[in-house]
Amino acid sequence: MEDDSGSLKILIADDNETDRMILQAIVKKQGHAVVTASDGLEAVERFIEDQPELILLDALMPNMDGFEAARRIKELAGEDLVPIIFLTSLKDAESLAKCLEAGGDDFLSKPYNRIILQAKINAFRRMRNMHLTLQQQRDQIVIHNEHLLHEQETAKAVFDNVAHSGCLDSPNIKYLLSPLAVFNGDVLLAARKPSGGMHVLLGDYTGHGLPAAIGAMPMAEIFYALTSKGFTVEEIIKEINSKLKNILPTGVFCCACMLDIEFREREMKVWIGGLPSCVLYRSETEERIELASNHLPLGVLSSDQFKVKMQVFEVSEGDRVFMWSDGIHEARNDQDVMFGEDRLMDVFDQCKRPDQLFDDIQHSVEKFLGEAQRDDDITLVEVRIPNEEEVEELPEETIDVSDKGPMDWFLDYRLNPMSLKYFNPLPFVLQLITEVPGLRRCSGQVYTILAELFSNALEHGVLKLDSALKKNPQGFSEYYDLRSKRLENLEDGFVEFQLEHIPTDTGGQLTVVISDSGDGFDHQAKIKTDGNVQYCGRGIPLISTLCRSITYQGVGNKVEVVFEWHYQQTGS
Amino acid sequence: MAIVSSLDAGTGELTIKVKGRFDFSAHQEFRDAYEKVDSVPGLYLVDMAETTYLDSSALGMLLLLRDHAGGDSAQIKIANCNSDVKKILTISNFEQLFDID
Amino acid sequence: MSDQPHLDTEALEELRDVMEDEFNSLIETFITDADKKLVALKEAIDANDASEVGKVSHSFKGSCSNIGAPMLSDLCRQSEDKGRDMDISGIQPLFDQIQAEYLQVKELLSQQLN
Repeated sequence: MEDDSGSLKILIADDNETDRMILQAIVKKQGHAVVTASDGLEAVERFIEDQPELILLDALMPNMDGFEAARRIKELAGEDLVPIIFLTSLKDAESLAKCLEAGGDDFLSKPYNRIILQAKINAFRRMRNMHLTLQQQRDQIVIHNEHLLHEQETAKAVFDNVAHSGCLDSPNIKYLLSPLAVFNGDVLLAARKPSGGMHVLLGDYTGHGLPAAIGAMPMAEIFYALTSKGFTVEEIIKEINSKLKNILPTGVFCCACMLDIEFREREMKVWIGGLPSCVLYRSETEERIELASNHLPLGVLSSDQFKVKMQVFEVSEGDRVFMWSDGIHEARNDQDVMFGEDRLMDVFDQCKRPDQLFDDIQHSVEKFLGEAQRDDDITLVEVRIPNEEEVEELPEETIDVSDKGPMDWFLDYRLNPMSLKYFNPLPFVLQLITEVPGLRRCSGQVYTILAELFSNALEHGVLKLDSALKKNPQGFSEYYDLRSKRLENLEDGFVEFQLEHIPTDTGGQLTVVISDSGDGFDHQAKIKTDGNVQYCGRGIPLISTLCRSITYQGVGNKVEVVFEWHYQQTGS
Repeated sequence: MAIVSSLDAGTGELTIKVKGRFDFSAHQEFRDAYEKVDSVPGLYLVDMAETTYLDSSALGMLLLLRDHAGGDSAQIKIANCNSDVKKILTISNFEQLFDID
Repeated sequence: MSDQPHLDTEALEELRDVMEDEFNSLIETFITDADKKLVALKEAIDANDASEVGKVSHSFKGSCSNIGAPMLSDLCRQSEDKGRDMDISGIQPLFDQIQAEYLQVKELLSQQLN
């Protein structure tokens, strides 16, 4: 309903006293308050002092005529609506147009008709009220908006602390991500594994604004925490899915691509659900391999239905993986045409130099969008397989002599078939070992040793897989398929950890014995033939450099590793 | 964007037809289409014959429908998709949850 | 033109209703103002100031129409036009008409006082 109520303060400016008296009477009779002026100058002064809400203004007045007075008053009123009704017996269109140009909103001609004047005043009152309401609502919106922006900034600050950039600044990663990408639902995380490799996760949440950003936080926490503890990519992606399934409402999900890159092994595993196909670009053959989404996005399936099947590839130094969210495909130019997947793939096909691909893609999109369009909704990542020297040593934590923890202990932990099938013991064992203060800073090295030996014990000892199978590209996937199958059907077998830690004068010593139920191998013969300690064709020279000693025992299905650590010298 | 729905009393099948762009603006209407029915449908058909475009919020709406229709036991068919729509559904692997034509 | 009344009684009754207690005051104000206007008009004619003639006539025309004196108002309009056309030669007869009409109106208005 329109607001008809409320009396107004009305300014009557007319140089004729008779006219003024009549108008004043009409207006007061309608219940409004009146201030008067007898020329243009006085009209402006009255306006400034008394702040009337509506003005009846005679066009022709001495000192300053109505037109000039109207102009000044409208300027003073600014964005407020103060209707001006010109009082005039001018009838020609030109004069009336002049009234409007000066800022007049209406006319009232002489002789003054009470009914007409009252009707006009009512109409303008309604308009004024509407205008006021609009202004108030607009002001509220502005304040609200400012609050929202402030909240977003706060949220972003929290998010940045939780999500931080991990190792996105590594020399082998290039990325394009707008600073407010998280509010578009885009998240990019990267972390070094304790074994030296790397996990990278690109996520694209449905929705916009805070709801999209909120989901990203627990995902980042899980990603960084579990990666540093040595959990596998399968375990991490499954955990993230569980978390998101629990906290996100139905219909909200996260399309994602997660990479697990083992630098030393030259292996890469990819999980991709809901994102448009990514690309693995081989540097040597210039082959473009499509990594297509083969899973539902994260947060849709419950834990028991969630599938972790990874796409596995052998990779060489210089190979590059390109990941993106659908922002690139959906970018539209001013003809409303989408950039699309075909144009994106064309960039690869026309590539002259692999190291320019990242820039080429960016330029191609910019060119397509043209001058006017912004491309800050684009998320683009290139992860290059580095050579070993390039990869930075993980920073070591310092330890203090005064740090106390378990220094003398022994653990015997045997995993039988069900445990081998459904459980990864490495994070737990690593956790236990790194409770020793001196070993905390070596967690990477310790993890590498454990992972290597456990993997050997499980795959070669218990599952009896031959790593020679991994020599060719087909053999690669076959190996992993076989591994899954044999593990699933495992009925007998075990892997056992025997861990002992003792303090020494300068620090401590950890002895790890890993034995398995397999047939072992003729380690003596191997050493004789090539002088290196090889086990099923996979070299473990690294372990040799990290450990004080490594010895095979029994029929070769038992390996003992001794690892020493020292307190740091003061002053060194 | 317009949503047209019809319930076949005999078969108990609710057909929801989405015309135009299937995006966030369809949210309330799509929901009303399956919530405000006289009797509970046994199966659902989402007809995309006139759907020109599908975005992630539409995928979300399909998930909501599935949840409403019984989750894992829901019987939902998505039919007559054009190639663009089909592509989006494929990338998201929605054929694991819906019967897609 | 000449079949217009000197006073529009209907309009006057409207005014009486609107002004209430102020009605007499209004009439008196009009008369005082009109007397002044006539003097000013005469002076302007004598000074041969066409522009001033136009202005004064315009102003007087307005209040006449408001008070309900249509014939007087129309005479003022004619005077205003002459003034605006910058040709007030031979305006004297018109002035005399205005003055005569005004005296009539003034008389009739006095009778209308409450």
